[in-house]
Amino acid sequence: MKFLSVNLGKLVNISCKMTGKGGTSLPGKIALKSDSKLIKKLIEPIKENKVIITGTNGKTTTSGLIAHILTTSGKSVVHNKEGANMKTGIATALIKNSNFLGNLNKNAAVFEVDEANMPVIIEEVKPNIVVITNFFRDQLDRYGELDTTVEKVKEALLKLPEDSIVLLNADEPFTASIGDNLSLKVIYYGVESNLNNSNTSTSFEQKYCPVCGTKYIYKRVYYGQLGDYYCPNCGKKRPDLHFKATDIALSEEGISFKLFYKNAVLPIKSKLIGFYNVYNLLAAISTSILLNINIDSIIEAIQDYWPIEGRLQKTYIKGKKAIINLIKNPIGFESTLNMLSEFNKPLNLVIFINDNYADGRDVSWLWDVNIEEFLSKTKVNYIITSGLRAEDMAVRLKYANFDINKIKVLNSVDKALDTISELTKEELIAVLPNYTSLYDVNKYLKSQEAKK
Amino acid sequence: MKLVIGHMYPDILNLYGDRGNILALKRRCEWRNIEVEIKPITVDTNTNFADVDILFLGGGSDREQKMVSDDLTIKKGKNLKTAIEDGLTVLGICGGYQLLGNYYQTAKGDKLKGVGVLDVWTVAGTKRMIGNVVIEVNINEKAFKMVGFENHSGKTYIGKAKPLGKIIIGSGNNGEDKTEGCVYKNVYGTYLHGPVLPKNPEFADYLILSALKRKYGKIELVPLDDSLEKTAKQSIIKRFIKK
Repeated sequence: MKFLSVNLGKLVNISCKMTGKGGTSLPGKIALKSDSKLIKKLIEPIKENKVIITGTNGKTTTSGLIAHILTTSGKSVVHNKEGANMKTGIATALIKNSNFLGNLNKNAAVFEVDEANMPVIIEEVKPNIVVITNFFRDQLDRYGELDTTVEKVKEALLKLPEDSIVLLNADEPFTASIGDNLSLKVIYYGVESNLNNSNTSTSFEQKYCPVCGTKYIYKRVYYGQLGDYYCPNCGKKRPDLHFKATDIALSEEGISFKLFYKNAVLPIKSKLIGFYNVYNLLAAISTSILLNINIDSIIEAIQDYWPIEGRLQKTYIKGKKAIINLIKNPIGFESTLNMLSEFNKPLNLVIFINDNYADGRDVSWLWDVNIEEFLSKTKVNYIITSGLRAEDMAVRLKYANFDINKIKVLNSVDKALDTISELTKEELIAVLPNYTSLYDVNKYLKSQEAKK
Repeated sequence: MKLVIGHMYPDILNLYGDRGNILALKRRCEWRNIEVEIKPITVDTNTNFADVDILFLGGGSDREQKMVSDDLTIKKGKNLKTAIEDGLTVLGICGGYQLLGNYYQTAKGDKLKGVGVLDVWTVAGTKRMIGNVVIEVNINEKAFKMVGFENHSGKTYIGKAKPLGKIIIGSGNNGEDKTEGCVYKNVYGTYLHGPVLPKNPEFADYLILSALKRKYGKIELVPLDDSLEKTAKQSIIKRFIKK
């Protein structure tokens, strides 16, 4: 049956390629219909180096980093690198990496997994390490309330093999609370830094102490609800850090910091930018150390890692310099805007907002983004809004008091990108698509490339 | 002219872009040179609501709702009712709407007390009602459509009170009787969560107008250019109402 289903999936994959469709989920979807236990069967030969990453933000970058480190250190890795992170996407990755007999010739697996798909994936993959990055408001129409999501992930962890490790972001209170009363080995990572952002985020999730219900007090806030917090009533606090990043330096060129683990101090340098990537790097390096990967090869792999399409992607649109970064929830959007304002350059923006199922049907979250703050410190010439919810984004900008004469609503992706390149002179173009619109942006870029 | 907007429990009830509503009221006043003050009202705030012109209550999760129920009904309830009878303009959304009613019965069967201003009661349902909503309303003798998004499991039933609108697309109060929201005097409750006001400027303006009338007597609002808002609303109506 495994043999049949894999080949069915492979056939679908080939036809996806021929028709030019993405094919990151469909082969798995069809194959799972013929064999619902396919993931479990295909991954069976891999016993070690199985990692699952979940959380709201940072899944793709963190899993990309881990896969890259493992590959650099000589492992052969199966990885759902296109970011299709539901059951079907993971099945697709496995099918593509199996031969036609259904044998997977790999010795490591790195999967980013959608929060809601955790129970079934954990049961079938039996990972050695589960990494949880953070919980922010994201697609509340799909997940319901944030507390419910945290509870579901916590329940999913009960299905882990006893010797698995759970690696948690200590600075994010929802994530850290997952470790409370968990009978598995729990390891925490976090930041110890003097960078103290006054909390301007409007999507701050006030966290209450799970023991006594008192509001947490923050000694430091890094971003969103991430920081160094404690309960003034019962004394519960951010867990002690096993992996700790200090001496963080951020620039347009990249990130550097010191990583403390047991008695070792590792100097880390990366080309990634933006504070939030410190956490992604920290999670990936911690995971690799826990997997006993050689330290030198970790440091080396980190240095030459560049993220995949749509994440801080530098490109040109009709000869004009552009940077593309995915935005899909308020904190991700805000972090991107913060990063852009750090460039100290005039900008032109194109913001794509779709509301397809994978994006979340609800676009209320646009109002949780502190666009006012960004506009107050950044020179922005024009903003084009596009996608299925172009009008909603335009209204949001109007109420941020951005000059409506400099807003253009162009639902067509091609028209939006053509127009921004015409309007742009010496400034930088920032292209900010949400999830499904990234696909359209890439399609445009490829068609431009083909014309050359 | 000046309006004070009381934002109830901004630290606890602030789900799904509720902030868009405060922003819409603020900007639409500012664009007309009406001064606005936003006054956060929290569990620790003692207030008699005499200095508030528009009161806003946002949504919250069950956990958060429990936290404010006691404060709202026991500590603030009496003053709030007095102000409402005197004509205070109030907008309650989702959790805030439920708390303005008689009670909210949780899935476990506990009854969380509401202020009892709106004659509605809410019972936790098993299925979440999620999706785009289009309703037909009649406010200030003007009939128009409102659009928004709902995401609630509570089913709200109306007693003697008047619904805010009639459901065209979506579930509304309970998914059964085609009603959405509730109105009593100048109090409006709705499940159109988060940023309902930016895309429904007629409704936003009516709230501003009724608050100004109460404070300053007869008044007329300078019209604004709402073409962007109207396009946003029309694009949803066009998408979901097939002719």
